[in-house]
Amino acid sequence: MLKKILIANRGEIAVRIIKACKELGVKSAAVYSKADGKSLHVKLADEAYEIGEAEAAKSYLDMNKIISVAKEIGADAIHPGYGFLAENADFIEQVEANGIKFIGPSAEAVKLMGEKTSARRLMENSGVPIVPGTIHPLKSYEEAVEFAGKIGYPIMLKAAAGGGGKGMRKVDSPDELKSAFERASNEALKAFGNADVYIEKFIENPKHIEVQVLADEYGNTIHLYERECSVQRRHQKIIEESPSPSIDDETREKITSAAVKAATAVGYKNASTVEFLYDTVSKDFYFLEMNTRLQVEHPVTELVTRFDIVKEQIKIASGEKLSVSQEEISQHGHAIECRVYAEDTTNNFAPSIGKILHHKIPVGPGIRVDTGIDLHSEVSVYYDPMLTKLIVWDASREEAIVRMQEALKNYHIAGVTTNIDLLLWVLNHPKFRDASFTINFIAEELQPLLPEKWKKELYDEYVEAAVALAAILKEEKRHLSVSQNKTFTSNSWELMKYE
Amino acid sequence: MSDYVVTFNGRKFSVSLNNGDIEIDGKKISGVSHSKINGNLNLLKMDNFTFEIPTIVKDKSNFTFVINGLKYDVTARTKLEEKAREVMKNRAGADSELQVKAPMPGLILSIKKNIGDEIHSGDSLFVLEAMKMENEIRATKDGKIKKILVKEGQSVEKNQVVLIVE
Repeated sequence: MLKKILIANRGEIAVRIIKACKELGVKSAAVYSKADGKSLHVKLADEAYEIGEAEAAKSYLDMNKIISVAKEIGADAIHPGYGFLAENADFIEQVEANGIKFIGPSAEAVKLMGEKTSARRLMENSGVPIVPGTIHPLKSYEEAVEFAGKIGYPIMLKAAAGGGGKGMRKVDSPDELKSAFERASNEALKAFGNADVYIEKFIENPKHIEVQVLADEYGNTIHLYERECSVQRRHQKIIEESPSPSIDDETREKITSAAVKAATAVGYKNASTVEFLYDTVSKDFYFLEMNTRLQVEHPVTELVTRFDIVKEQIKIASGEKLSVSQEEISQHGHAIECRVYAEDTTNNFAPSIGKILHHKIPVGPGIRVDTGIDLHSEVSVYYDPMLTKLIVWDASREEAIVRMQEALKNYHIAGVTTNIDLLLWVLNHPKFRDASFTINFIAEELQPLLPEKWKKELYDEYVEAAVALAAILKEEKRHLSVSQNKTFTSNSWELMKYE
Repeated sequence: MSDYVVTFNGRKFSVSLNNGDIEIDGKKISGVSHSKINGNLNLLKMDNFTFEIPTIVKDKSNFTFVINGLKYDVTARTKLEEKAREVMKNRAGADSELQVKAPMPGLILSIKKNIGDEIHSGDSLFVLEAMKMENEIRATKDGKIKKILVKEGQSVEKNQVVLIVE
């Protein structure tokens, strides 16, 4: 077993990995930026080392710094979490060149899957269905025009080096193509340092279904069934669940075998997620991309399969064989995850920053809270606005939804604006209830009700309590200022100031 | 007995407090009691419900409450303060201007309109790059561009006014 793991991340995922380390008796070392000195992951890790400025480029993305800390403190492995350096092949190569184990796939697998067009080529050759489109990066705008014309609009432009919705644009007609092409390339260049884009046929109203895969270093590959993550805003997931309420057992069998096939084709080791678009009408699914890392939404799979993915990652990296066989993995009940973001829905989803002044997490049967914040944590502009993942398990989807609603109501945060109200709105929506939602759910159902309309009914419920408390606190303030005034002399200017 | 005007989301409520009884818009709620747990947490009992309410006191009139996951930004003023405010507002003129602000700190990539352009709700006004994402900021009402206060390529703070629509 590994002895000491440096966790090259922050927030809830760093906390999650630290917990797995503790349970396995492995020492955990956190790294942190100047903005994160008091953050939860720093407090929970066995050791913590400052690595630079608040800007991620000067801390969590500084490969040399992280590797030199790892060597200095005698860490024998690095866990990258997700985001930051998790899917950076150069980083993996450098980590391994320094004799440190990278908890994740090989640099080659990351390169192959990170370049989306090479991934598409490989999948096509391995018999995994892909979305119709180009399997090479576009050489020019002219080539884009020609190809888009051939497969027909609407199309998607996507960053070849991309992921997470960045550098991605839907194009409905030829006259939109030029500006979309430029903007997607620009965004791709900024986000990934590579301006290459490619074209995919736009699939109308699909669902997003993905399969969790685990592979050891001896060629054993299994899946941990699927997750559905169709509730997304601009390709960022908001709510995920497992099992998917949208597929039958036959499709489940096909999609999970396709995922194992995809991972095997890359010679994959450790944890990954194979993402698919699913057409509910034809029941066809298409390979979208392979995420070569631990996924944000891994907990829903952990709850329904009763299997700890992060501990298994560490065991695999320690050179152990998979601790379970495919036959030993099955789905039990239903799990849902809600991502709690510090953002203001009514203000164009702007990130909300500030100090957490009150923080009480929900507890109870079947509730799991993966959080990176604590009372008095600072939520800054520097990092992802996701604060916490609430995950619930119950015997059925219906019961899990109710449990989640209660958990959200009992998650009390003050100091930043959160999307908890929006999550409650989604869970209440008939299209979420009957699982007829697609990846366009938020765009179609919420967008027309922005900025304020969607809140109306939701907020009516407790408006009297809010109004009453405001009047009570106002009255207290007035009495307070009257008594304060008495301590001053009858200086009329002072009196006015206090009134 | 004291009277207040409480505003939430543009709705005004007339509130009277009278020894544990509260009247909101003429509707009597009895058995109301309140205790402060700490500076950011209040306990409110009313109508046999007990709410634990995370609270932020912004100033003497503005409060933020979180009730069962919902965030209420509420303003409470005395009747006198409310009246004074209306007088001030009228003095400033019935201004129908809308300041379009940057919803987050970032870089103005492009401005889609010129001064004098007629715009419609939903029109793209400018593109703001923040957190590596390009965000299209759209008009929330119909009108005409009166002023543009920033240039393309300029960095803006959160809530900085980018342009004014009349």
